Amino acid sequence: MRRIRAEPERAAASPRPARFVWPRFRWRWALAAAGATAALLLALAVLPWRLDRETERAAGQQAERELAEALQLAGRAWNQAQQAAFEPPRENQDD
Amino acid sequence: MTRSIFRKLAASIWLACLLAGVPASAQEPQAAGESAMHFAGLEENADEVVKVNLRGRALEQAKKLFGLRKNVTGSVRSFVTGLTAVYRRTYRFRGGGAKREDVERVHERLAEDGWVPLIETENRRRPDALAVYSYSAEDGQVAGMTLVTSEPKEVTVLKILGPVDFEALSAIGSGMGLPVMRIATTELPPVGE
Repeated sequence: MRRIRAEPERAAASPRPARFVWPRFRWRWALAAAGATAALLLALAVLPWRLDRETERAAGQQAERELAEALQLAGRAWNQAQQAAFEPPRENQDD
Repeated sequence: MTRSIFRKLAASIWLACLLAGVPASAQEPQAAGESAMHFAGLEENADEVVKVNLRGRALEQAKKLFGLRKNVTGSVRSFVTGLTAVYRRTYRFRGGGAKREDVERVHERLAEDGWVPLIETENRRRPDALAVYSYSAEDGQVAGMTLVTSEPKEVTVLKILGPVDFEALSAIGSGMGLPVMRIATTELPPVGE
């Protein structure tokens, strides 16, 4: 009795597993996913660099304009100061 | 005991060497620097403030682009190459204009920082004034120049640090050393508009 009862329990407790079969590897899907990932990473790396370059170039142009403006202001003021300092005094001529 | 004395001696020698290696630019007195361009009285009362700070990388980029300009004479080019910093503050007023004591404070501050007045002019018909200051290095070369122009509605302080070539500056002012460019000026609309 004990043996008969044991057999169905043993059968329920340890069923024979099905044979495992690896899924078919989709090479094209893998290649496409790798390519998309690489493109995304490249875009993420290049885009901030391009934006930084544009910003830097604009800042450089602005700085150059400010430099030229400051130099012209200084030059005109220097000429004006020299003229005012060295111009002969006007003499009142009463005839 | 001997080891602690040795450590203290080594630390003091190392500190002395470190201080001795401080670059000359850091030893410039208060004549240079952005902090010397802060004029509280003018800034508080002005309706518009224009601040330009060109130094370091920004100035190097500006010099590089400036060097690409056409019709710039060699003297102007070499003058610009030697600049170390350019600071400009323009204060614009709508109402009564700048207070006299605020403008006087600017001159006092420049004198305190070691700037020597070269030329001071004042137009009595119009309340305009112009002052040119210079700063000399230890070898006697002019190491900087400051301009203070005061008009009824505008006060400008312009500081140029570096060897100053006054001939090149004069050429720039005459429009010979540098092609004249139209400077966009923001004019405040009259009060009431």
